[in-house]
Amino acid sequence: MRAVAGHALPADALGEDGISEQVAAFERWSRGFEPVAELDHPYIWSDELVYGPPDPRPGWQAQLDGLDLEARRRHGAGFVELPVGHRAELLREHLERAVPAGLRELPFAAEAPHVAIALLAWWAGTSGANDLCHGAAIGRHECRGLPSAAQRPEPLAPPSRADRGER
Amino acid sequence: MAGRVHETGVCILGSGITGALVAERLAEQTTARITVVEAGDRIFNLDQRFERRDRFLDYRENPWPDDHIRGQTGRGLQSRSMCVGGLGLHWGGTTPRFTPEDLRLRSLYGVGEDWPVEWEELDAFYQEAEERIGIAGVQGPPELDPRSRDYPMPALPLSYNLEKLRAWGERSGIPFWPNPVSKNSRPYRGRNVCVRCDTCTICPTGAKYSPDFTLQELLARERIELLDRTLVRRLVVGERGRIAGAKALDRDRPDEPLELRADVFVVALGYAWSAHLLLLSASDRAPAGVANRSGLVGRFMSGHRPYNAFVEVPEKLYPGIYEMDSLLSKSFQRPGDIDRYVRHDLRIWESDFGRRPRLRSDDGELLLGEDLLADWRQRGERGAARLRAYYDVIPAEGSGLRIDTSRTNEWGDPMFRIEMQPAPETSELIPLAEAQIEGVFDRMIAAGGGRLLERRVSREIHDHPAGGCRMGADPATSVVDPYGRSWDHENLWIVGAPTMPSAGCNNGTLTFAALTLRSAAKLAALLPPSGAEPAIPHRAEVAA
Ligand SMILES: Cc1cc2nc3c(=O)[nH]c(=O)nc-3n(C[C@H](O)[C@H](O)[C@H](O)COP(=O)(O)OP(=O)(O)OC[C@H]3O[C@@H](n4cnc5c(N)ncnc54)[C@H](O)[C@@H]3O)c2cc1C
Repeated sequence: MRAVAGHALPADALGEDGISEQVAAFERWSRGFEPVAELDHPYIWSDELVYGPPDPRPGWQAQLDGLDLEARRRHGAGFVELPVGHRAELLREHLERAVPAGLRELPFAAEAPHVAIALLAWWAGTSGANDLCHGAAIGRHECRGLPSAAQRPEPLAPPSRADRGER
Repeated sequence: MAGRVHETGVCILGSGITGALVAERLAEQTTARITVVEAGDRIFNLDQRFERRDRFLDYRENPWPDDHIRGQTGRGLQSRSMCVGGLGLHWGGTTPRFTPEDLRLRSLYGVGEDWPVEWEELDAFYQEAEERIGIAGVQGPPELDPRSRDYPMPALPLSYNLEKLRAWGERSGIPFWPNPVSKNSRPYRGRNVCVRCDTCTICPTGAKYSPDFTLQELLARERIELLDRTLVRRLVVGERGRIAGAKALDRDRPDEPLELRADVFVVALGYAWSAHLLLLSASDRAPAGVANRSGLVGRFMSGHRPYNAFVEVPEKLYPGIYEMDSLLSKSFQRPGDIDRYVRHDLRIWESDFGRRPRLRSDDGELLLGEDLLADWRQRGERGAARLRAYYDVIPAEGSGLRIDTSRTNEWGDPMFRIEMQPAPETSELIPLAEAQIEGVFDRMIAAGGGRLLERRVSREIHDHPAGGCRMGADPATSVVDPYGRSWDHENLWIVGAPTMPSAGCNNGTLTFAALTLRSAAKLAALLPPSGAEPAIPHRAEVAA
């Protein structure tokens, strides 16, 4: 998963440690997933209840296994051991096959057609990703109190080399 | 099996906002014994709300998982939520008042009906509703936003995004001001201040008003009894047309019939379930249904249609500062002299429309990692806004709810089907209303800069639905009198949304609440007085 994440997530912006943290958080999120949970009633037109998807995790594991197997068959080494360029190419090929051409928006992570897209969709939905995009400490969905609402959000401090996992 | 009987003075059916406010008002002003009956579960869970909020955000799960009854639904229903607190647990808490024009549609514009209520009187009940619920707001220009007193709490401070959008919107000459909300800008009636966590569908701190707070307080003071998980199935008409009782079902003891007996019954079941219960209660003594000698129960139901536009604005904005908050204008609700009946409200929100991270570029390339971030950043350089107008749709007589025998709940009761139809005199005006709204959006863009991204009109949606038991001065053309008392049954009152002759063109719940308090004041005068000062003094009485 960590090797996949290095290609799916913005590696430069997040840095080595950042990527590892996001993978750990995504794995925590997937462990907490409840299959076919009752979803929030949509506002209006909700005379029927709506349920979420079944457990995507077995499928995701199969996709990771498939990536690894194909890496071994093609290059004689597991996905993790491949040079970066080969890894990126193999992952992109898998994604081109798995992701329907009509899927243009990031899906709800649990409904993603591939585990790499699930990770990306999950990350992109975090408050931290929103902050990173806008370069500001917006703190979407955090309890921030009312007074600071009127201020322009503070710029994000650029990550230090250590934050980025560089030595 | 022998049944149980529950006897009380006032039996309030439904524990949503309207049921809770009637209970509170009567509990303060009378010594009547009060029972609130609610089909759904009691979800008093302030201590669990952070956890449920997290799961709602992380997994989109229903933050109120026990808030409905399997099989209890109808086609066209707005929300499945049935629980202590009703839809008011989920609500967004937007609470504008209507404008005086809403009460005079026939005399001013020749459409719909005039309401049997004067604005000055409603103003006092609006104020009472705002004080009981706890509304944070600031008056707009008085000629557009008439009110005789201040809001009980100052408005929430406008966010950075909304300040920018206000300046953008006002370049068109249309004034905007903060949308009033039932969220605390200071501690209020024992509840917290809003922490701007932006998940009002489940407010984890209790800063947003929900009726469960009122009911818990009344329970703690032992002023009401609450029969939850108790579905009322029929009202029973007795001698001289009085409501003798109600047949109910305790969902924990479904085999043991439960009869509710009371001096007075108050139907506070919201726009859909009120008419449904009355129609289901047809009997030899009320062949067309309870309170239905006019044949108008379930009729003249309506709501307003939303027309949305998403706009790119020439400003850097920061999506997520406070997405639930918004700006309001009533310029087009108070249009002055007009040739044709077109009225609508106008709101502005921050939006991330077209600025969300996306999986494919315009030419269909998969975007991963840094490419995705770069594309997202580039599109976020200019902000976006959502504009929305609700326009008024006057109902046809046939617009509304009918019993649907093809569908029953677990206990064999037929459910319903709602079909909304505009009145002939307004259906021809709908294209004009939509054209006018498009013109307003275009005017704002032309003056403020930016460009239109998308427009969406939703002709199937009738938001904040109301009607179905409309009030009036004539028993032949209305279901209840001007105060919500049934013309047919002297001890039956119907309150809130169902009594409205038309649904206006902005969020309706504050108006449902004000009308409910007006009914409660009238009813209280018929009950043994407590002699105590109400906790929230009623302004009309204070003035008198
Ligand atoms: C997601 C969401 C957001 C909203 N946001 C806003 C907003 O921002 N502003 C606004 O103005 N409005 C908003 N609304 C609408 C608002 O919530 C409702 O108008 C309001 O709560 C209705 O209150 P009520 O008392 O009329 O009815 P309800 O809340 O429906 O209460 C009726 C109660 O009666 C019970 N009941 C029904 N039938 C029976 C029976 N046979 N026996 C016993 N009990 C029964 C129901 O379970 C329910 O609890 C929103 C609604 C939703 C769902």
